Amino acid sequence: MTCESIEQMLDDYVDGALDRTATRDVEAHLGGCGRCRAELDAQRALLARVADAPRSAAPSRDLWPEIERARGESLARPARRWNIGWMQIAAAVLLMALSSAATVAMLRHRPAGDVLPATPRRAVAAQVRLVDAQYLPVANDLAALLASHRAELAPSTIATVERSLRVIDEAIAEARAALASDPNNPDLVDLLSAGYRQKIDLLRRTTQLTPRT
Amino acid sequence: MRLSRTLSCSALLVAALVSRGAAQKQINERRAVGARSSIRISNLVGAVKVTGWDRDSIAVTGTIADDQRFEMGAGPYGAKMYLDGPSGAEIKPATFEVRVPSGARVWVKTGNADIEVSGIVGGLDLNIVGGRIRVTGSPRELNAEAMDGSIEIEGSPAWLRAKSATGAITLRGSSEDAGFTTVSGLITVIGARFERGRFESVTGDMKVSAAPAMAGSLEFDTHAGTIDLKLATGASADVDVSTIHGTINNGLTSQLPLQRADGRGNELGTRVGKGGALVRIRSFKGAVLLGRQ
Repeated sequence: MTCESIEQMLDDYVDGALDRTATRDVEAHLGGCGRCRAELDAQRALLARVADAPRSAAPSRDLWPEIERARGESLARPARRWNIGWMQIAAAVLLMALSSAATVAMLRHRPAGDVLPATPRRAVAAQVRLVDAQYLPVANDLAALLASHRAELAPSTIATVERSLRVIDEAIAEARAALASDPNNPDLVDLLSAGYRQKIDLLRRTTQLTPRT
Repeated sequence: MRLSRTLSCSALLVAALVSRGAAQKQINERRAVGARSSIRISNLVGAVKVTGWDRDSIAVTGTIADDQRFEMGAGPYGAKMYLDGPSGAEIKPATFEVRVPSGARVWVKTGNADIEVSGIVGGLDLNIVGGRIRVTGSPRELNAEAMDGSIEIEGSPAWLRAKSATGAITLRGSSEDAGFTTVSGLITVIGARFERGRFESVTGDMKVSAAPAMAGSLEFDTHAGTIDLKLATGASADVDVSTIHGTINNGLTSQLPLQRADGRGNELGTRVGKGGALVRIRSFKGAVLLGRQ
């Protein structure tokens, strides 16, 4: 059997879904082919990583308090269940009334031409860090996986992928540069995320291509 | 002189035919499979035509190079087929026609190939690097992925995802839930009705003429592609556009786009008809053109 046919059967082999004859054939080939053994090891390692991965991914540290501080707002975390009594409601209403009155008074006495303070740059920096934390590790893992499979792909495919990755990286860089000068723009954060999503998707699809295509 | 030339030409022709005949062999295999089988076709280079038919069997005909081997296994729940060549050798181009139960779920993964699919109402998962994917009909689910190959769909898959790197993506039809993603390819959608449509590109242009369903949504994201959206006559939607550097040309309503107060970017929020459906467009520096079909 050739490496191509083994590659077609490897998924099923790893899953234990091959019949006895096919399993024997695959194992006979694996015994004498380092490349396919490496592919098998890579698949098993990937499956092990997937199995060990948490069902939901959280950033390595909780960035929410930092974002709240930076925005200067008290953004309530939604996960908490509140048990509110009449006294608390009354206190909240009183607080809101006082707060509104204070805001109105402040606005009335604001000098002409003054502008409301912009969201501090740290807030967007935190959002960008969130985007980075969400996407960069995956993009880096996939780029490393692609680098290890690079020799198996056709030069024309590599050229197409690299050209597209350059286009995506330029878009990401432009979004980042724009964020540096326009830090209050949530659309830019979304466009940055979209760039990363494109990159991850392209890398993922490339790592799944059949060898020599 | 003329006779000798004719003889020479005939001899060359015969030699070419003989050599061609010697270099290729025919495939003709049939197997029984279930009506909702899972069919996996892989490693085929050249042209693959998959046609759904109203039988519980799979039939494969085609031509492959003499030194290639065609492998197929089939059972009640599905079939699997692929081409294999001499160890280490390239897979040579082949042509295949595969008939499968129309309700089957068909998975095709190849390198450079033309895949043509018609008459499937089950699921399709098609993957090429170069070449062309062409789907006619209305499968329940369609996932089509290409690198520099093109994707053409004529029909109304209920669920549709089409992705390319540089290849063009074209839909003539509709979908309840459609997603189009490309880096620099052109996305063209003609006359579609969507419950939910999502369009993403980095530099690829998008030419979309569509109607969102009542309470449906169309979402566009691009970095530098031009978005040319034509809404169907009579379509109602709330349209929300924002760009960082791109221009907005509103041919849908009399509302003019506004420059953001800080001078960075343009925005447009406008209601077409009675509103209801949501059209959201976000572009970094690509132009946005809005109009009626």
